Amino acid sequence: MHELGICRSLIDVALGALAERETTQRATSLQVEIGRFTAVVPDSLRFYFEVLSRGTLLEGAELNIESVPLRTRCRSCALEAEPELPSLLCPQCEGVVEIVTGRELRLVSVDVPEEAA
Amino acid sequence: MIEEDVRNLLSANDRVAAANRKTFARWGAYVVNLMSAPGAGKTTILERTVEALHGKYRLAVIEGDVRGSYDRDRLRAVAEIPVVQINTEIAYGGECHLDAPMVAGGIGDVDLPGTDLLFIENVGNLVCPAEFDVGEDTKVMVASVTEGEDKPLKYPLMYSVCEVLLLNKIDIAAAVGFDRDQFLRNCRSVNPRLTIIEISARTGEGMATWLDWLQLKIAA
Repeated sequence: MHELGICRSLIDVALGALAERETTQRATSLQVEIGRFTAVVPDSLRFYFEVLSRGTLLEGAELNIESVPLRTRCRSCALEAEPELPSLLCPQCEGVVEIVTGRELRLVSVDVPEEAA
Repeated sequence: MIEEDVRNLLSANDRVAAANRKTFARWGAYVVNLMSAPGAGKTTILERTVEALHGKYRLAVIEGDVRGSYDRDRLRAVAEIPVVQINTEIAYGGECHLDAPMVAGGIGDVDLPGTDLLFIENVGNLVCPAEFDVGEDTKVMVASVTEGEDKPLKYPLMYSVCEVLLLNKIDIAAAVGFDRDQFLRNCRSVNPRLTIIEISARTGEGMATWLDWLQLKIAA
């Protein structure tokens, strides 16, 4: 249920991005990346987004969530892999891995309609 | 179309965590973020740890709970040390974890220069606290043998972000049919670098190893 806090942050960051662009138009959609190796449930984030965006420029905007796969690189044999959770060991040599992707919690873009010329 | 902008959703938290870290460094404190499922024994471990190290080091504790000050009262009964209670129910919508702003709010005007060791006892939960940096030096988790040996596989994020695991209640491992070897294998598969210290906070078994580990960190 910490999606509530993450969603507050998402809304703050998105409204900040709109304010920077000095737009008063409502956003049409948001692109968000959520890594597979995070503790965030996309449906829960969507639910909070719908509630918390009410009355803001984000109300009614579509929340597009892209799930980023867990990708690791082995410190021993350098193999890049997408290991099957829960194991985080290198599938080739069982070595210790570094996480390359899968920990993302990012707002990629906020879209507003084209400004009328 | 607005120009593309990449922003980390935890950046607001991480900025406050960095500020907390500065505050703790100014105090001179080594900070442990202590996490576990409810009932694993965090508070009992803290009671025994405070009992053992109080007097030798200056200790302080930040207690995170959804509600109540039971843990603060328990620690105050052990020793006269500063204990700050944060209730997430009051200002934070009953959040299931501590984040950096909550810790910043909790310490508020409290100034504890000269603190050697600060424990932040997180809300009992194996999911959410794993995601939030609160400004700690290290993350330590407690697992108890009653939880079963499969938990590293069910909560891999928590097991993977911690430096130390205290395996608690080993005095009753046999009675609950705990498969120690399988548990250690499961831990290794999600975090091969995890330091595992087997203890019983109740009988005191293994506690010396944990206390030694802490004292090495304080001295470092």
